[in-house]
Formats: sequence, C-alpha cells, structure tokens
Amino acid sequence: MKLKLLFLSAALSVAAISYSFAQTADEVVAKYIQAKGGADKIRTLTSTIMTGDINQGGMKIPVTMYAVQNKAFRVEFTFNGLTGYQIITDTSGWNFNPFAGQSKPERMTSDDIKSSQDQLELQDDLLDYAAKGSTVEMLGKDDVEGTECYKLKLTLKSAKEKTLFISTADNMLIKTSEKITANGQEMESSTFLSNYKPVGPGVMMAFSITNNLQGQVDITNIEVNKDIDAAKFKP
Amino acid sequence: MKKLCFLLALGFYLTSNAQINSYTFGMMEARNMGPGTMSGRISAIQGVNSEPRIIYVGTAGGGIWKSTNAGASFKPIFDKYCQSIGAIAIDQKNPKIIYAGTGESNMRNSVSVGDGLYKSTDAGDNWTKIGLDSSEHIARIAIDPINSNTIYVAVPGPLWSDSKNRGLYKSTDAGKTWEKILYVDEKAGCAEVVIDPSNPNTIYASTWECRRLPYAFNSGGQGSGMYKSIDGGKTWKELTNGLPAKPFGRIAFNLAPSSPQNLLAIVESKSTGLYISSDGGETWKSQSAILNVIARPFYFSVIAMDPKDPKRVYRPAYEFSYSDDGGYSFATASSEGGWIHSDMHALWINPSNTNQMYVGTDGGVYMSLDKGATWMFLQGLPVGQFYHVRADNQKPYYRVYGGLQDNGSWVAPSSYPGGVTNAEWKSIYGGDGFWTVPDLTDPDIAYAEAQGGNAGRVQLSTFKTTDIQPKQSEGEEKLRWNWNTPIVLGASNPHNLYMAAQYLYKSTDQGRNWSRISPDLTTNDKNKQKQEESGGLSADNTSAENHCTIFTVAESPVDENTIWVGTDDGNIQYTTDAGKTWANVSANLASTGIAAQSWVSSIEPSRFDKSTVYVTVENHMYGDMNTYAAVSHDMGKTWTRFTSSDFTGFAHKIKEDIVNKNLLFLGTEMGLFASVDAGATWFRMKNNIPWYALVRDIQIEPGSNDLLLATHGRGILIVDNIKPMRQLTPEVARQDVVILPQPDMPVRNGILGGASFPPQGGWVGGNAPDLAPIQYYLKDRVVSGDVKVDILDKDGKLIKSLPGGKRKGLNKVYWDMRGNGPKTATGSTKPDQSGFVAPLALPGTYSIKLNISGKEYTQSFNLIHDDSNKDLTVQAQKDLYDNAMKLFAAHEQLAHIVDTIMATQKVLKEVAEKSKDAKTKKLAADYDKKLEDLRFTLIPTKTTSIFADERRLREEISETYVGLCYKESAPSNLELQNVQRLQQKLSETEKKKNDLISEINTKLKTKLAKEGFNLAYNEFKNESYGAGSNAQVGLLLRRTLQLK
Repeated sequence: MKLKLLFLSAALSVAAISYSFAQTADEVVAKYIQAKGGADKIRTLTSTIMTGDINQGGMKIPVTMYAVQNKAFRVEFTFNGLTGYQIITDTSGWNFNPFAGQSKPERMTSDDIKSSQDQLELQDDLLDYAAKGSTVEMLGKDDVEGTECYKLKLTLKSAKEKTLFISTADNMLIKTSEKITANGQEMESSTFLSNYKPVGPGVMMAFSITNNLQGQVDITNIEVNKDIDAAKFKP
Repeated sequence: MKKLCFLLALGFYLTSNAQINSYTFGMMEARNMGPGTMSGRISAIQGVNSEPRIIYVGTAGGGIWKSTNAGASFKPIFDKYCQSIGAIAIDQKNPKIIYAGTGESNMRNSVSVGDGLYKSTDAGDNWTKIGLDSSEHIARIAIDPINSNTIYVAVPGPLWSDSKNRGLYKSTDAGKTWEKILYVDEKAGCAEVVIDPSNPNTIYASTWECRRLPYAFNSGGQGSGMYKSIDGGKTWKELTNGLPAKPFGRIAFNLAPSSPQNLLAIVESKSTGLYISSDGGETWKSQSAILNVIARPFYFSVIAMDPKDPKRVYRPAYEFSYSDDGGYSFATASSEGGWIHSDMHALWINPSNTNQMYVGTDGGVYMSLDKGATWMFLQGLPVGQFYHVRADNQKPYYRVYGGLQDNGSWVAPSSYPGGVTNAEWKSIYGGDGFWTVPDLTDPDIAYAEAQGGNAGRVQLSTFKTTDIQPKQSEGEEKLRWNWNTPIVLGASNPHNLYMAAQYLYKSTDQGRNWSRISPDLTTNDKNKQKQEESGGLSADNTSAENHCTIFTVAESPVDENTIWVGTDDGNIQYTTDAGKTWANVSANLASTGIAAQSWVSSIEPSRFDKSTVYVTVENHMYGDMNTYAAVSHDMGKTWTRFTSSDFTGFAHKIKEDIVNKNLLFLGTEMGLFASVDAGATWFRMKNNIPWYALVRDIQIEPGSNDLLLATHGRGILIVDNIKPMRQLTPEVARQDVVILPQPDMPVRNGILGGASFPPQGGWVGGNAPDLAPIQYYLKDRVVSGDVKVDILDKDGKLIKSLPGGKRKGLNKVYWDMRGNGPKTATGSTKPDQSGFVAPLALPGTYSIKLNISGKEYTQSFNLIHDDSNKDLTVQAQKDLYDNAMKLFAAHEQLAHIVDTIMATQKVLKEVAEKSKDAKTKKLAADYDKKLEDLRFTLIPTKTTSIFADERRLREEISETYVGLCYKESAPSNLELQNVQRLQQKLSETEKKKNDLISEINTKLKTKLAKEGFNLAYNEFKNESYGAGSNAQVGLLLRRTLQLK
C-alpha cells in the first residue's frame, strides 16, 4: 500500500512539474514519436493495408485502404456488390463512385491530387519533419472537447497546413484539422483519432477515425509491409 | 489512523478532480437560431485586396465573421474572445495577418466594451492578444502600406470614465510593443487615424471628447481636434485653418487614396458641417451638405473616397449618400431592389473593382455592384442584438419571441421542417425591440414595444396592433419610461400583465385597462432627469438616456401578490400584498459593497422558496465593469454575493432552473456562467456558445427543458434539453461512466417532416433533435479503447450496434428505432436502398448496452406507441411491422436465389470455356443463358446511370418494403395485396431456379464431376447477413469520394 501511495504521489508531482514548463514544439514532437512507438519502429513501415468499415450510425460499408509509403494510396468500399474507389499516387489521382452514378473512373483535378498527396505519408508527418521540408510551430495548449492538448501547426513542404492536437496526458494525437477546398469552398476538416493499438513492429495506430465531413471509419485489421499489387493503384 | 486520514484526503483530492464544467456536458450544445433576415449592428468590414472574395466583418456584439465567397456565407472566427469589435485591419502585403481591435466605438447607450487588441497570423484561425488591454474601445487600426510592421491604433478609450489609456498608439514591430504618440487628456481619446498612402510618414488623426452617464450623453469638448503629423507621429500640428470654432465633437474624415492632398471632414461643432481641403489639411473650406451627410456625428463616423476616383465620395450614415463631385453635392441610394437598413458604420470598397462595395448597418451587411446606388442584403449573418427572449407553449414546438436593438420584435418557431430559416422569422412590431411577450393564456396575442415604453398588443394571426401603454393620470409626474421598458407576464398568474415607468402598472385584461399599483419606486433624483439637455454639441435624446425608471419586474412564481421591482437607479423594492405596501431593500444589498446607484438588471424570485430571491445589478455606466450577482433567503434583508474567478462582464440576468434549485445561470456582457451547487462555484458555459457572448436574457422553456439565450450580437441561442445539467451532479460525475435515464420513446420517424427544397441561402437555425438521444457521461476521453452502443430487445437479441462517442463528458448517440436492413440481391449494376432500411421497432422494453473498452454498462428503456398519431393504432403498427418483415425475408430469399444463380453461372462459364467435351460446353453455355434470362427478371443488369429506371423483382419488393418501413398509418389494401403477390412471385422464382438447377444437376453433374468442376451451392438460410441500415448511404459514399 505504501509503495502504491508513493508511486501515486510521485506521479502527481511529476505531472505538476512537467506542466509548469512551457513545451517547445520539438519536445512535444519527440514525446509524441516516442509514445507512438519510437522513430526506429515507425521508419520500418513501408506499406499498410487497413480493412474496416465506414460506420455511420450503425450503417456499415466495408472499406479497405492500401498505402505504399510516398508512392500510392487507394481507398475502396463495397456495397450491394458494387465497389467504388479513390486512388492517389505521386503523379495522378482517380475517383470511381458507382453510387454517384459514375460508370467509369474519373480523373481528379490537379489541385485535388496535390491536396490529397499528403495521404502518401503513411509513417508519420511529424517523423523527421524537418528533413521532409515541413515546419512545426507550437501554438500552446487547447482543449479538444475537454481534453487538454498541445496544439501544433504543421506546415508541409507543399505549403499545406494542418493543426495537430496531442494529448498532454499521454502524448497521443487525438485530433487533426485542416482547411480543405471542396467545390471552390474552404471547409474545416477535422479528424478525431482513437482506439490506438500496436501494429506490426509495435507502432501505435488509431483504429477509429472520425471525420466531421466523412463520418467514422472503424478499422478491424492493419497489415504492414505486405506486397501490394501495383494494379491496385491503377484505375 | 494517520495513514487512513491521508488516504481519505488523497481519495477526496482525486475524486473531487471530477469538477463540473462546461465539458461535463460535452455534446449538449447550443444552436444559433439567427435570424439572418434581420441581422445586427456592423462595426467593421475589411476585404483582402488581392483576393476580394475574402471579407472580414466585425460586429457590435457578435465577434468577427469571415466569408470566402464574397458574402454568400459567413463563418464566425472569434468565438473565444470579446465579441464587441471596434476595428479590423488586414496587412495587405501578407493578408494572413489580421488585427482586430475589440470594443466598438459607435458610442450609443447600449455599446459594449472591449478588452484589447488581437492579432492573427493565419487568416483568422488563431488569435493572440497583443496589448491595449485597458482601451475599452478601439475605433481604427491603420497599417503603413509600405512597411506593414508600422501600425497605428486610434483609441477613444473608456466611455463611462476618465482614463489615461486613450489616444493614438503606434507600433513599429508589428504589434509587439506600443507607444502612445498622441494624447490630449483623460477625457479625450483618438477617434480616427488615416495614413497618406503616398507618404506614410504623413498621418492625420482626430481626437474626441465624449462621455456618457446613465442619464446623459455628451459628445464634444476642448479635447476634440483635428491633427496632422509629417514625421510618423513624432510631432503633431493641430489643423484649424478654415475649420469652425472649437469646441468640436466627433470628426469623421478621410482622404482620397488616389489624390491624398484632398481631404473631407465632417466636423461636429455648434454648427456641424462638411469641410473640404485640397492641400493636405492645411486649409479647409466649409461646404453645404444634405442632412444625411452631417446627421448624428457621434454615431456615423465614416466618410470615404473611391480608391481610384478622388471625386467619388461616400457617406454611409443614416442613409447612404454619394457624391460625384468631390463632396459638393450628394445623392442618396435608391431603395430599388430592396430597402437598405439605416444607420451605417462601416464601408469596404473593392479596390480592384470599385463598383463593388460592402456597407455595414445597424441591421447587417449589404453589397452593391453599382457604386452604392442599389444594394443587396447578405442573409447569412446571424448577429442580431436581442434584449430579451420569451417562449410560448405551442405544440409540438414552441415559438420564440424577442426584441432586437434597432430592429423591432420578432417571432419564430423553435423548430421547423428543414430547419428554422430566415423565412420563418416574422417581424411583429417596429422601432427598437425589447420585451416581446407571448400571452400564455391566448395563443393569438403577444405584447411588444418600441423604445420608451411605446407598447402594443399584437394579434399574431393578423399582426394588427393596439396601443396599450399606460397614460399619465391626474396628479402624477410625467411618466418616465426606460429605453427598455419592462413588459412582464405574471410567473404565478399569467393573466397578470405588468408594465412600469417610475410606477408599476398591472392589467388583468390584456392591457386594455391598467391599475397603478405602486408609488414612484425610483430614487426620483431630479439631477438625473435632464435628458432634454443631453447629446453635447448635437442634441441627441431618443429616450436612450431616460433615467430613474423601473427596469425589472418579477412576480413570484409561488405567490401572485408578491412582486419584486428593480430600478435603473439602484432600488430593489417588493410588495407581498399586490402593491398596497412596498419595502425597499436596496440598502441591504449595497451594504455588501455594491454601489447604491447600481442598475438592477434582473430579479429572480425563487420558485422553490418564497423568501429566496436572486438579483443581478450592474454599475458599468459609472465605469465599474464588475460582475454583481447575489441571493437573499430572507426577502432581501441579507444578501450573499456570488463570486468566481471565471466571471467576466457586468451582469444582466440570473436564472434559477425550474426543476433543480441548485442549478443557476448567469448572463453577463461577457459570457454565460452556470452553477450546479446553488452558486457556490461557477463555470463558463462554452457549449457552442461564444465564450464572451453578450447574454442579456435567459429563459428555460418548461415543455422542452430548452435553455434560451437572448444574446446582444448572436441572435437567439437555444441549448436543447438541459436535463443532463440536472442529472450530472458532482456526485454522479465522479463515476467513470454513467448512462443517463432514457425517456420513453414514441415509435415514429420523427416529429417533423422534411423540407421539400433546401434553403436558398441565408442562415439556418437548425432544429431540436427529432429523436431522444441515448446519453451517457464519460469522466475521461476514451483514447485507447473503443465505445459501442448496442440496442437489445427484451430477450437480449441484438437489434442494432451503434458507434459511440468517446469525448469527455456527455455523449449523445441517436438510434432511429430500427434494426439492420436485409441483405439484398447483389450483382446488379445499380444499388438498392433496401439494405439500409428496416422497419421501425415495435413498442416494448429494450435495453442499452454500452461497451467502453470491453467494460459493459446497461440500462433498459421503453419504446411506446405514438398516441399523438391518430392515424396509427397499435394493431396497425404491428401490421406494418409484420408485413415489412415478410418483405425483409423476401429480399433475403431473393438475394440467395441470385447468389445461387450467379455462383452456378460462374461454374458454367468456366465449363463453357474449359470443358474438353463440345456437347458439355454447349450445354453449359445454354444453361448459363437460361440462368441469365432468369436473373434478368430479378435485378437490374443493364443500368449504368442512377437516373435510369430499370425495374425488376428486387425493385418491386423494395418499393413496397421501403414504403411500409416509413409509413405511419395502417398498410393499405394494395400494399397488403402486394406483399402477398410478391411472396407468391418469389416462390415461383424459387421454383424456377430450383427446377433449372436440378435440371443442370441431372444433365451435367456427373459429367462435370469427372472433369473436376463443383456445382455445390449453399441452401438458403433465413437469416440476415447483417448489413447496416440507413438510406443515406448513397450520399455518404458520394461525399466520401468527392471530399477526399
């Protein structure tokens, strides 16, 4: 009992000390990368296949996402025997949505491709961010629905900006937000991440991803570093 | 023992950590009802020169709004900060840099106060306060067009007190440090600054001496003047040559950007006039001008010249005037195309297309495409300035009533099919609006008023009005009506209608006749009653300065003979005998350290205890911005003040909950606060409410338990159903997980239908949720696990599994009272919606199983028959369900038939291709064709467009199935026939398929077995494959793709 108490009060005082110092962006990033599993493990990821469901109010649509680091990304979903998909590569992008009446894949606009290409980063935007040409600015602390977070502004090499919210309690990324342009209008796209589980070599990944515009995706399985047929990334 | 104490203390420390605050109520969030049809006062407009579709609008009490589409829609971008905006400036060299000065400088009686200067470096996403914290009012921010690190800020400073924090401030390091470069004295601040764009060291500034008291206003004094500097503000010269004799009041001036030696100034003085200079202000000439150009100088402070044409002059004031000859003559904007609201305070002209401009008025923003001749109203800015809010008792949704600063009295339903749009708001009375009170005993009647007690009874069916204002009687002093005169219905007896001047009046016949039931209840201080002398250099008394009046009237909810009255000059008086005798208890409150003169802004007699009363008072008109709220439990003999380090802003309203006496709300000039422990501790409510909202009035509608807020700058806010605030007491919130009691839910699609067409622009105020949400509380956010909400029937069978929210505090999950849809036939080129549709569940007992990272919590609840629906009996509901389920089964049977056909076809195709026996090949191809012919009758196989109608058996089943699933009346005779016919057709199909398959088996199985082909297939099993349920799938998938 005594030991437990000591541990508790030690934990409390450590917490008190760490809160009393302002954190730099790099310190927060370092803690985050560590909490995610560490840079070495994250760097081993070269491809992922995530399977799960788009889940909106209990309505489930099976979805699979394929990603090859810095090369290609594909999301496909199946309903009623029909499959739609989106492909983003380092050079092109395609949409095929039979549910929206499309009978063949349609090429994405170059603006849309450009703004979607950050999805080709499957390891982590914050890992070695400076080497990737990105910058990170500390915006202080903010509440995400009542949970205290560090607020970072990440500016990618492409000039795309994202605001990242990292929980001060466990250094996990719980929210990202960015401005997207859809049909000429700027919109705030916010993604909440939760249900973190270790994957592959022990990298923590969110199995529940909820976006304010696109709904919730529940991941059931993530395979890493599997060969993915190149045909998957062609329309 | 010692150890134990320590443990207990530690335990207490840990558990009491679960402090109640706005996050405790997580998803309980406000919706902004608008209206957008009547907006509010606009104090600043700025656009991005290089990208003029981007517009920033600063408002008197609703923060900053940004449009990225030239005004088609707006979003608020300043919701965590002071809502009163005085000035906005964009660094046009780097338009992501925005400065915002808080504290509007249109110095009317109801003007709010600011708390300093803010800066954003990311186009308004994030803001940092950068100084001038005590400025209270900021009139202008000017950025050096060449070196944008140099910024000038004109600070008129405090309106209600002397202050050294006035004058013109300059920063040369983009706002990091500030220097005061022009200062007159503690009474006169700086009201305008303009930089010569051709030589940014040349600065013009006007100073302004201006002061308000609660009962008087003075614009003018020796401190007002016109100044020029040619060295960036190091030294100043006062400009006088050709200007009238001092004293001056406010000076509005500007220069022509394309010819900056040309200046125009409207100088308030004993003979207010327009002055023109063509030599950089060295000499001025008086110029005759129409009344609009020189009207109300304290309130209309904008004059502007076209960025390219120095002769084109604009004067937005009472009306919109423009000149084509440099200000020698003016014309006034036409009302062709629509009335433009009077009282204008902001103008932005697009420099790359000077035909286009935006003007900010007391009623919102307008855009012109013809240099100000005609205007279009922008309908998406819900920044109306309400004084009060009331609700009636209409069903199924109550109506909301309120009065707007400068914009009359309005009524709207609290929910409406498709959401409450601008079109649902109806104007029922003119002038400035204040109290707008529905008669709870007569749904066709409301009472409304314009400034100064001009009140009427409004017939809501016709909007006809009848004057009801009490009139002066023999032996009475002239009646003194507050700007915002109380009109109040009895909280105990709603047949009692009260109005008050310095006397209290009561009517029991809808205002037809009145009894005066009090003597003068004010201090009747004659020194505070000289309004006719008010205004300063320009007479300005519009009843806004009326004083020594009754401001607050409240009948006790538990005794109609007990009435409380509060005055604007500090009196709190009550009667317990319906007005025969009165007791003044204000000295008792003052003895707690509140100035005796303080304005009594609200009185709230308790509904739980006759001797308990809550008050708010405020003293901001004497320069004291503190938050004063108190309670007395002995009829005002002794008072306990409420205090909190969270409090900001002077207090307008305190409200006791109607169920939980420990739950209190406090509205101030800077925020809404709540207490769940009878006022011991308070927290700021942030639940989609601007953190510093100007909350003038608070109501709780008893039928819905909705919290209604009258904000002075963000319209009406409604927090739907605040029951969780009663349920999540500090004790309850100490638990990790709590499912809140689930009310009985009537089985139905919802209460309202949908709108046939979406709104064509404008603000949409949303609706109350049509279904009761499943609500649960999480002490902490769930980051590492999953949350699922399962609905089980009484036998424990899973009906539906819903994803659960994971946020800290209250989570809401909506169940549409349906299970999962059937598995429908696949292989079509066209999707079918039935897979996402299931019939409404039948009334009965169900349970919620909440799974938080593997730990389960359960609670049962009831679905009940919707007795309000006279078209649906209990039996009819069962018939709907049973027949829908027959077709549910039919869909799954058809799905299996099609699966079987296609599995068989797959093998036959392979055989036709690979078999070594020509006869077998032929047979296989023939049977494949026969199966395809059958399949063709079952599902669409050709359609490639969602707009084409290909109707097969699957579509026939869907048509009747989906209809039954959404129907809220008994199935029709034809629907019942159809169910039978479709079942029949399906059995025939089943037989055809079976016959064909057995024929294939007979003819081919042995042959194929020899060649190694397998024709085996699954027998049909009557169970769902477990697809989801929601007809929205198509939309979702479309969104998923397009928005990626």
